[in-house]
Amino acid sequence: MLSDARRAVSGDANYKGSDVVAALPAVARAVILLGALLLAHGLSVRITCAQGLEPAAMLKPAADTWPTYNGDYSGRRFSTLDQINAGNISSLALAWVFRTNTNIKSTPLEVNGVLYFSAPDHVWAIDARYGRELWRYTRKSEGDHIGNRGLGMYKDWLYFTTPDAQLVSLNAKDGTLRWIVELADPKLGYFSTMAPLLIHDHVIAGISGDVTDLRGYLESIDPETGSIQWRWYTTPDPGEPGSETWPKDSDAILHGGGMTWMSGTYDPALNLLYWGTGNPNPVLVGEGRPGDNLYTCSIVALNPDTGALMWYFQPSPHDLHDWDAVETPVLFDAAFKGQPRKLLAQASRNGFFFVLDRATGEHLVTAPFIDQNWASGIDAKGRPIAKPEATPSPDGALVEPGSDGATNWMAPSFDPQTGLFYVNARRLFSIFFKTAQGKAEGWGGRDRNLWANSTLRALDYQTGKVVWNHEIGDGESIAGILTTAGHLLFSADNAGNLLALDPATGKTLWHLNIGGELLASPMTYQLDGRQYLLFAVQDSLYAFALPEKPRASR
Amino acid sequence: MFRRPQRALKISFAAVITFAAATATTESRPRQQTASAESAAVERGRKQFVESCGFCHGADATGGRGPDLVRSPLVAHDVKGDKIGEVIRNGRADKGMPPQSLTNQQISDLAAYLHFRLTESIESAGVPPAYPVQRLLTGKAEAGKDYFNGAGHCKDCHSPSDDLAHVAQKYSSTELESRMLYPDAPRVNCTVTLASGQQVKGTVKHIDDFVLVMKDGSGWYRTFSRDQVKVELHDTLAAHRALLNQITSTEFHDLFAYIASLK
Repeated sequence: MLSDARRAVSGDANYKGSDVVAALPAVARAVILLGALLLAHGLSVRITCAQGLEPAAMLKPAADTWPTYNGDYSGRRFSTLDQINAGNISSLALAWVFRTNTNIKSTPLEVNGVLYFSAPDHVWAIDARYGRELWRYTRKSEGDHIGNRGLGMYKDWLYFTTPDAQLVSLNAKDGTLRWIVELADPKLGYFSTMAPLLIHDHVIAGISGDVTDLRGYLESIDPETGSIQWRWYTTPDPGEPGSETWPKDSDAILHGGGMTWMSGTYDPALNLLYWGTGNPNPVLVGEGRPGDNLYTCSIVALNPDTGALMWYFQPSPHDLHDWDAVETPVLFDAAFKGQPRKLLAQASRNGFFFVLDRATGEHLVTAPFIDQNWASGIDAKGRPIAKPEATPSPDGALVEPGSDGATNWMAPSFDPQTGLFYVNARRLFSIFFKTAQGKAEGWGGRDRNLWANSTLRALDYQTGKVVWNHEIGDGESIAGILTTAGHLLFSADNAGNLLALDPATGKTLWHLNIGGELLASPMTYQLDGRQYLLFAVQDSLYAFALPEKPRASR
Repeated sequence: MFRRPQRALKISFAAVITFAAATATTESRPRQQTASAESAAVERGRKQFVESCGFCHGADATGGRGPDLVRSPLVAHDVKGDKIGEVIRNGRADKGMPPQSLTNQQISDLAAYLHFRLTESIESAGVPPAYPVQRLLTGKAEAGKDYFNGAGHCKDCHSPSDDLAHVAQKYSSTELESRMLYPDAPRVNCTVTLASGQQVKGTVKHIDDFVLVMKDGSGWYRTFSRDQVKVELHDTLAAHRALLNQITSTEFHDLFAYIASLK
């Protein structure tokens, strides 16, 4: 209790309260600190429980926390912190480094002065001011160790997913194991990498696995007991709505894919959960699954309390190129053709940018955000129309983009100050070989990458037009984007340089050769009146801040 | 799904389990014997499968009247025939599958075949190293030759009697087709103009928005800050990138038919 009060008091930048309080007699200290605690409680929901995270705090996260994968429910990855800004960015200094021994793709959570982040099989809690380890949890597992995007938090509990498709709950105080529940059968090929999303008393967890022909689904799990609350299947049961987009009397629909492997977004006022789904199976071969294949490669709006489907939009119908539509469905309120609208935007794997009304699912915009050669046009529903020659074939089909996509899981951003949507995009050419003969199982073939380069782009959400373009070099970047109220956009190029750009123009304002690739998305938080900017580069976390003023000597 | 760059062949979960299961019974034998013993079992299993199971489950186990066994959870959980054997011996009366009394060896072979089919489906997520070139030869070599000498502008840099002589012998089928469109490891040459006006020519080692590292004519490396010099790049593969943006499907396969004839 007392330590929380001291933290609340010393959070005020105007004076070093801890120094003043420490000098008083014990009783006076207790009275003052109790008063400060009550005052702090009134100012912010943050201090409700000792170090944990109250679900209500997620509705309006304190500006200096990062309590969920995308920072908040909207997925905008726009921070209102502006201590670090365009005026002082050239003074940015390294505050501390934390090293691990494995690549980090997760976006850390910051809650009450602690950073929580992950890699496959590993979770760390470190002090967010000084970068010192508090505890570490390790659980070795079988399955695909391609990456882990991060954690979810609820009160004193943490949640993360594993390569063997389990959901693990840990005690956030010390990293001890609380329980493990199975999300999907790893022996069938399922695994999981996503950062669970906490909505009131639901842990929303998704799964991966398209190397074998599996059925995708999304689950809501009780954060206390681990029991399943609901499961929404990406492919419907035969006879259910949407099943008419699959062949009848075939096992295709129950092995149709549609993995749910990236965290979605949520609108508390509408109480709608937005989630993107992955590609259908068999991946490159569509003969056994004629039809649009709902709800694979779709953006769906679900009721988070029941899992009921409220509306859907399909960026890539009858997909044949592994173009998951799992990219963040970013939510923002803005004017569209003169009217204020509640919007949802996705820069999708297939190279197209979509804007929808997120209350109704009404389609508003479709436009390519980068070079592509596979679509001949856009249909009446706003979906791109695939050219026949883009179909994977035994003799090889040259397609731009390749299966790795015109963008991928790395975080996009929407900046309300500029009104621009930002995406890390690729020009990527691949030859798609269909190698399956007879009934396809699994991928049924593969594409071979020929060449790629990457670029950061700003899009006008009303038209999809490219407002500015900032090339970041040869290769396929997976660097995420962060924008801030300090008029800064943070990301990285393909040469190992961290970048700060002007979000209005794309001009470089700051860079640093960090000596490694940004495999994750930057995040930021503020403690004791000091803003920290965090990048996970390869196996290390780098925390930047403005230089501290020298302390007065004692 | 997001996948790693394709150069590294991914060893996936079931391949690990399958391999582990297969080698567990034969750990005392040397590796070579193990591999050929396994493939012999798979071959026997394939024949046995056609005979005993194919009429319902399809000759390649992908289903027919009976389910697709490549997608079977039971097969995925099976270890050396423990679960598969039970189903074969007891049948599935409610599903119309008759019991069959097969020997332990026959069941073991069938299990080996089914696990092999599962591994095959997992490994289908890769271009096989030995891909029959016949499948790629859907174009007309004569038209490809015309494209090479005409609209493709290939002859501006290449010649079938010089750099491309016998090129079809140097690469596997899919490698040849891929490299035809875009070869590996481009060499980028550069001309750097210093503030003094002096020019330095060489090959690029590293370039980004801020720094150029190049090797000059003397063989030494030199570094420049981009804001202090002018850099002109001469990318020898620029024409190939332009090709990617222009070539049609027909031209692509015609050109390949021609290139594949340069043996």
